Amino acid sequence: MSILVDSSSRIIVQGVTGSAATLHARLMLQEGTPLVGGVAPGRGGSQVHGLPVFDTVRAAVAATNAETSLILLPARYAREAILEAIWGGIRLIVCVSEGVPIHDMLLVRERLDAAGCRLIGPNCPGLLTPGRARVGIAPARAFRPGSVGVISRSGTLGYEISLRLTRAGLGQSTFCGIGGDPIKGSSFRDLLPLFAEDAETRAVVLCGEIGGTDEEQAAECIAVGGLAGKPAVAFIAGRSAPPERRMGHAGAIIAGAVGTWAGKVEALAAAGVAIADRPADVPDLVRTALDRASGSG
Amino acid sequence: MRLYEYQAKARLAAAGVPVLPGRLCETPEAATAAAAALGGPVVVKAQVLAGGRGKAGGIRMAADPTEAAAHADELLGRPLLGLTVGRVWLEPRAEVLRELYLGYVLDADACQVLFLLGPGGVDVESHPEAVWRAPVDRTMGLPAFVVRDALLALGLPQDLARPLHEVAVALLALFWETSATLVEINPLADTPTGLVALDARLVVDEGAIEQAPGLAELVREGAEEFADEWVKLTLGFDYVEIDPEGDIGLLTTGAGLTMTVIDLITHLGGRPINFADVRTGSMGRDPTRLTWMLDRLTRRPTLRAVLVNVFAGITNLEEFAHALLTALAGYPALRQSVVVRATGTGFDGARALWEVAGIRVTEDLDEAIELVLQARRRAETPHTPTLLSEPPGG
Repeated sequence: MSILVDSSSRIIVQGVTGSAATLHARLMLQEGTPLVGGVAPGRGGSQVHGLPVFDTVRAAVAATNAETSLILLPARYAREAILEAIWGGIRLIVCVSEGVPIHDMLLVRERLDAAGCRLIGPNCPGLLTPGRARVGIAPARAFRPGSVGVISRSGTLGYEISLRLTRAGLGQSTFCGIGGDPIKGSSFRDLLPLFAEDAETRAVVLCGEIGGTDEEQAAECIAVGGLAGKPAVAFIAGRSAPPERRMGHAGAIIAGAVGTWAGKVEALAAAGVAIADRPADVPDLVRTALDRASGSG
Repeated sequence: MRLYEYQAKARLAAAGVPVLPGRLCETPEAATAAAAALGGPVVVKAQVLAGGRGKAGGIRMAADPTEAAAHADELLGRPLLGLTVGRVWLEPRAEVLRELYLGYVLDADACQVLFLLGPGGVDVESHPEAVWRAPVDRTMGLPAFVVRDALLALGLPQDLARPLHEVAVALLALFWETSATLVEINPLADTPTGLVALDARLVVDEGAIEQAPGLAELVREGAEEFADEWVKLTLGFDYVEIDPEGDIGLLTTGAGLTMTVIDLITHLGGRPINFADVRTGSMGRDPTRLTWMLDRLTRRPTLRAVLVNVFAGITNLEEFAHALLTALAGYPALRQSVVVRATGTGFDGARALWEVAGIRVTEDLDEAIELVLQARRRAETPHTPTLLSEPPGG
């Protein structure tokens, strides 16, 4: 099964004629992702790798019945692209763009909530259900189908941990890169209940980092049953990060007492999440948690 | 990105928020002249990007220009709160009848902007309950009734409502205009001539720097003061020096993965000099970013080894290999102390190139960290050639 994207998804790519988008559209098609079209204003009627291109999202949705959209555009176009996706009838938007202004995200979140539309990102690698659908830029070779859900703020850290899980024979149900920004479309707590409901997912790995309160919110969610008792393992990056310095990601900054490594680890541990000291420890912790879960009748 | 007090005040003034006339000084002599020009007793304020300046002795009263110069002399060029004081800001001493705290903050968790009002001097972090807060609606702005209710809740007189509302509306406009995540006046002083901001803190969204008027210039002209933001804006990648006396340089890609690498190396006794996210995906064969980093790193006499880490998704490793070799060509003594971890697209071709150049390569991150720590230990033994850049002509 998996969450959010699979073989039955109908996916369009906004900004499909851009160089990054063209490259990834080709790779996604090679991997078997169900892409059904693309959007590029003024280029309607043309084709990219055999995909029909439309002038607007609304036109693309009318012609293809797409419900999912991937936005691979520079940050300055992201807000409008997200708004257009909502306007055009898309239900699930994945925005990879890095550098979307925070105030843009305030506006976007309001519209998303009003429309009941889900956004993954921005500043993220997107979603990947191994073997079935990739909506984003995550490298497919690091993943294989399995029963571990992975949610990560960092793309590269998410790939690294997923690769180790794959090597240990622990494939993934769905990989969700939620991104490194302070205001994001979806946080850990928005996706945990989806993994809780997914019959294929038996455990979840959270890849977090310093800054903000995503992990603390995740802990609250898990503590009140948001994961329906399925085991969770977390690795939190930034234990040695200096305070008040932004570590690359817009949201990765320890501001006073908010966003510390210790606070996150404490909150997650209190909610029963197993904490990995290093990425290398994640597979064993997952295996132990799965054995324990299947052991208890 | 946090602005200096004097920069924040300039923007407050431009937005119509009352501030005191002030002078920026880089020398004690300038402080003498400034104090004389301002007339009367002045306040000498160290300009550093940290809170708690008052308690740390960075804000001092001066009765006359001579005292002002003495304070400036004691502050300038010296450390304060872990930073070096480059400038001081002088203002006339105000007659304060009452102090307030006024601000707006982005509440990322709830996805809203909050209006904040409280007693002046309050430490919002340790006493959040002392501050009255209300979400700001972008279409409604800040109506006067919000200010009146805030004053009632805080037990403050209603005759502050009109002037406070005026300041609050101007401050909110500044918040939106500068794409701020925090703007704080603490204290906002009630004086015989009206409300005036005695201190100002402005933190803006770096992702919007190019849209907010004047901020990009601030960064471009502030390569030292806004070092982290400067690299991001002008070179398009992230570089944060975290330990100038560290021994391992990181040419790494991916923010979360680099933070992890820093954690792992630190745990094993190494001292990373820097955080970096090189974004190799947008580099191609262009070595500019790598050369810039190597130039910075080799100026640190404590540098012993360099770790390169690229988990290639979009990046073509063969292209990156060319870029890295070109960059390393300028630092021949460094080669034996470079460890490359790479995995992904184009790895085989890249490895061949690196091995011919005598650079250690592995696909495994844990092994790479072990190798770089070994390289670091080797570099500490006597008779090892220095890793510092070779002067022209060898």
